[in-house]
Amino acid sequence: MLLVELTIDGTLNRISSVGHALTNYWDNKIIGFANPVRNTATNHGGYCEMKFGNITLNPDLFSSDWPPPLSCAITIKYTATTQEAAETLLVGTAHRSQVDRGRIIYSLNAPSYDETVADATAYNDTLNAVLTTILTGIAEIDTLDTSAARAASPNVTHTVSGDQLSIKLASDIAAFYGHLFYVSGSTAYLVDMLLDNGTQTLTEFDYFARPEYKDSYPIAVARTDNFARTSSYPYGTELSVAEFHTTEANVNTALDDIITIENRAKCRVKMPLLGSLPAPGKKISWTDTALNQNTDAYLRVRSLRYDLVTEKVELEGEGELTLTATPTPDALDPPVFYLLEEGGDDLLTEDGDRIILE
Amino acid sequence: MKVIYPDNVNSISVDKQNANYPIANVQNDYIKKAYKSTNNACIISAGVSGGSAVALFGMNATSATVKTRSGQVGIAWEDTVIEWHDGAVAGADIDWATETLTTETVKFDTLSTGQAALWCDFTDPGTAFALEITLSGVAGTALTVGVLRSGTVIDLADPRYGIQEGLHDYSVQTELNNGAWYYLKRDIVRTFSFALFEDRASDFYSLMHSVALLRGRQPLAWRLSENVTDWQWIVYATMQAMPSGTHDHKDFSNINVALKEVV
Repeated sequence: MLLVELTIDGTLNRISSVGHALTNYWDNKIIGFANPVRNTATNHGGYCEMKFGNITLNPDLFSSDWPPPLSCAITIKYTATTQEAAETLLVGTAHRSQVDRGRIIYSLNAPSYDETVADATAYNDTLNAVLTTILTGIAEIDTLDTSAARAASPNVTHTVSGDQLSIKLASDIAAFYGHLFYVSGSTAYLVDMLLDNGTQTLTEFDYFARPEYKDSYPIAVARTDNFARTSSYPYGTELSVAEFHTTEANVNTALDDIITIENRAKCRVKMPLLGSLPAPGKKISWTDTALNQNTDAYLRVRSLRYDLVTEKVELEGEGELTLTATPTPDALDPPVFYLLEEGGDDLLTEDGDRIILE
Repeated sequence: MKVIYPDNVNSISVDKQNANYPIANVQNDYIKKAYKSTNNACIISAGVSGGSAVALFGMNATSATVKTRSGQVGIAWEDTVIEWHDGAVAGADIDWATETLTTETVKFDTLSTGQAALWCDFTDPGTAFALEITLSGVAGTALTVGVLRSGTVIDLADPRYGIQEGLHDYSVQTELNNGAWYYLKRDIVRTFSFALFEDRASDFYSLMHSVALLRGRQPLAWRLSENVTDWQWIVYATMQAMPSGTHDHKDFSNINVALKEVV
């Protein structure tokens, strides 16, 4: 259930796309709601930012506050059960974009992180430590959860050139080292792109028809200003990234990880939005029996598109396809035949390695 | 067939209510935006400026009593001019007025959906009156009322045979990978469509002008048949399209109406 708290002229309005009689009544005043999307900054990691589009509202909502105010405080939540269990997706501002006789449209704006890192700031520490420093320097972020980050956090050696937006710098560093991070509430979560941030196995009753499996044109060379690494696909494209280390071995390791992640198959699956919202980095596995051969597939979630009105979610990320293992012949029960007389007596007698017909 | 329009309820109160679901909710057009009691019973009091019926929708009550109260206890002047009675003029200038309290016959049933519908016709007191509605439900469940309407009754001839009834499903259904169906159950509402054959001079224009022209597609309390008292035909519904008619006869006309229940 989509639950929206919209404050109009100091009055809190609880609204939804259909009426929900929970602890409070959530009035059916939402005509349309563009699907929020969460994407990593690059295919190999970075900031997995939640982006919102527009919300279209019933003009009745503004009957006593006409014309609709230019901006309103808005909180967007989702719950599968009660309003007390709702997860908050956005605490931000709705800005009026269109008024007509049938609808009022507001654009949705998340808080912007405008903190910067000063020129010549030097880092020489683990990725976890560096990102903790940068991200907790942002007012809205209190902590960095590194429980799903790489066990041996790679070293970052880098000096900032010119003032840079903290969130952009953190995103670039995380992507270079094959990590993503996302923000939920006041906590940022750092996730290794090579590992799982939780797992979930789907049966074919749990996801919609026709998941998609696509391969991007492969990366042939990943390079920085000073170093380069090649893949096993020389016909592929070239990828340039900023480097966040000064030692060739460290840069090469990072580039190899980037090539591995970039060249994986891309899987997309759509499923009912049941329970809590899937987190970025979660490994989703399933067996697809609708393909030519039964196929085991998985993806690690990098992109999420939430359809909160019909309660579905589309997941996309890099993953893998493998032929579903079939049972070995030994595991099967071989058919057994007996040659019997009409009365049921055995016709055959074994004698060593011979069979005698009597 | 009967339609309550206009709704003449001008005040409403209740003996107890959930603060998040006040009694004022029964006067909006949304059945799900309901009134809730703090337990399984309540007494609703409504002031009505005139009319001869009351209807309730979206209830979970299992029993209901409706009383109408008109008149007022107190001293009433008999004449506009006060005279000194010296015995020459018969009668008195003041007397003791009484109120009329009537327990009405309630047409009430619990639908198979678990919701209850109530329709109560009564004699128009010809003046403002008060409604006292006592409801009770299953122990442990908060008593709920979605919509209450009371007012003028537009009385029309019943629809012709061949009333069509169906359901409209707002649920989400999508094919799963193995061919099974994912089904997210949401509200399902009833739909009705029927033809009326009405006296043109009065009833045709009662519906077309006095109701449809003024009310538009805002929902109304409908009792689709008086002769067949199926409670399933009491419905709070909106007209799916504005009604249309044909004047096929000198004094009588046909009207086609399509209704969809509101949630």
